[in-house]
Amino acid sequence: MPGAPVLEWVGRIVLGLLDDTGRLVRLLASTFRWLFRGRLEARQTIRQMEQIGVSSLPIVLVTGVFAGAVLAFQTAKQLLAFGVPGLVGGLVALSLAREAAPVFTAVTTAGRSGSGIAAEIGTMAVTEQLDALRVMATNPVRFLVVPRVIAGVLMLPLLTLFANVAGLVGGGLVAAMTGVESVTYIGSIQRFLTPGDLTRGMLKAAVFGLIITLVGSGRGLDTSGGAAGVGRATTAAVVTAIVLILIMNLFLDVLIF
Amino acid sequence: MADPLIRVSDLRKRLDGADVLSGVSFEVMPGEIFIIMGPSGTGKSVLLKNLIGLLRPDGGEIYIWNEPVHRMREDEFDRLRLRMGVVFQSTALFDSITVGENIAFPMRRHRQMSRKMIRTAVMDLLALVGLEQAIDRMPAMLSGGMRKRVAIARALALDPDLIFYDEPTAGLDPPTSREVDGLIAGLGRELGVTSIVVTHDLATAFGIADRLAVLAHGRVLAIGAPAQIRADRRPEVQRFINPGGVEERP
Repeated sequence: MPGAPVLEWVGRIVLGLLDDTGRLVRLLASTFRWLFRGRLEARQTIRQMEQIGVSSLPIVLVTGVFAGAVLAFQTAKQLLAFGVPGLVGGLVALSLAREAAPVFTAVTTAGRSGSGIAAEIGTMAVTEQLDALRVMATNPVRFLVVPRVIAGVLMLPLLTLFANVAGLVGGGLVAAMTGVESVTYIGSIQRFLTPGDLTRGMLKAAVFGLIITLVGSGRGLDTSGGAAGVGRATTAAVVTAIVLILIMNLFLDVLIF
Repeated sequence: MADPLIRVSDLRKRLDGADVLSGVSFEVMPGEIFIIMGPSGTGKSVLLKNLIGLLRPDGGEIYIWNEPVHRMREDEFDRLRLRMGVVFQSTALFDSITVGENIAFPMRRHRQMSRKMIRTAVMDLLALVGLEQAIDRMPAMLSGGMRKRVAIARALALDPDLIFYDEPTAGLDPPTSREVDGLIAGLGRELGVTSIVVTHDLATAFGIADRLAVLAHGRVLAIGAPAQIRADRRPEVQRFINPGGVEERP
């Protein structure tokens, strides 16, 4: 049958996705079970907040500045042509708060921290360090995954807030260069941007933080096959996380905006 | 006569569609140094992983301290694991923390001890394995033999009654292998720890064993004291223990 290879290919992808989803759901359930059971791994959690949050700040700020700048450039170009410069700040701020800041922050963090999580846990898997944890009566989900998930869920919204500020500054600079007065730009932001836009964007970021850390940890825990396996796990963690972030972004938009 | 510390009966395990363990049975007595030996690929490591709960058997029973570990949940097994130590083939030291922190790890998690007490206990353990000077070094900075010693010190951190060693001399040169053998034998005899050693190193096996089990094709081929195994004239046993006239230590 001529279509058989295509069907087989599609079937394999669908089965793979279902398998991945099943593993993630199981890991999520296990993470929640350990989250509400036993004491928090405070040292590990603080270390992860530093890794995922503080260390990601520079790249998130750079991404934020340029995201805001390009948004301002495009909107200013169009709106100045129509003689409505008073909308530029508001449009930049809303686009940042609702979409650009949470999504760009999440994608950047998936590349930086999600890959790091998969590589670190994956290396532990192939060098028997996860087995060593287990035989020392230490559950790897409790010790490794829960601190990372907590850090991701707490840090992504904060990083998104910083990305918003950086984006507004970057946007303001470009808007000024294209002829929008600073007073007009800031006034427009104040008029259009509500605290609800910011908090809903941060809520999305928290979900993205969960996705990044859970996918990174899951890929790491399932790693086998030495250094090549760690490489595959790292790549898969980033790709899966970004795809899930983009899909979830649409669902969350429909739900909360 | 004392009860066996470990009792394994008719243990079966399939991996990737193949029978790896096909009805393994043996007992280990308290204080014994019990060697599980056999050529590579005969299921020694799979057997060890079943004993320490990293794999679950498909059939048969494992009793440790008269507790049925083959049907225990992970958290139930953890209670027993606090009385066990495991030395992995790759050492499995945590490479992001120092030697001292590696050894302190189980104490920090499972004992109510002050920092000072932990530091003293870590120094004592490092002294036991002859590596006091390595306390603040990273595992990657150590030689293979030194890493094995640190792994043994970590396995002793909770003062276990039972230690499992997976290929403790793999990858080591002969003199270092004999040093590690001496350490395992010394700990067994001086501390009264029961030791289960999985190895394909004949010098280790015949050098330190109280009893040996020869594993082949997922079954126990022969079991007994070193002299009994040596005296076993069956070709399949001789093929492994005397492949070309191996010189054994007295």
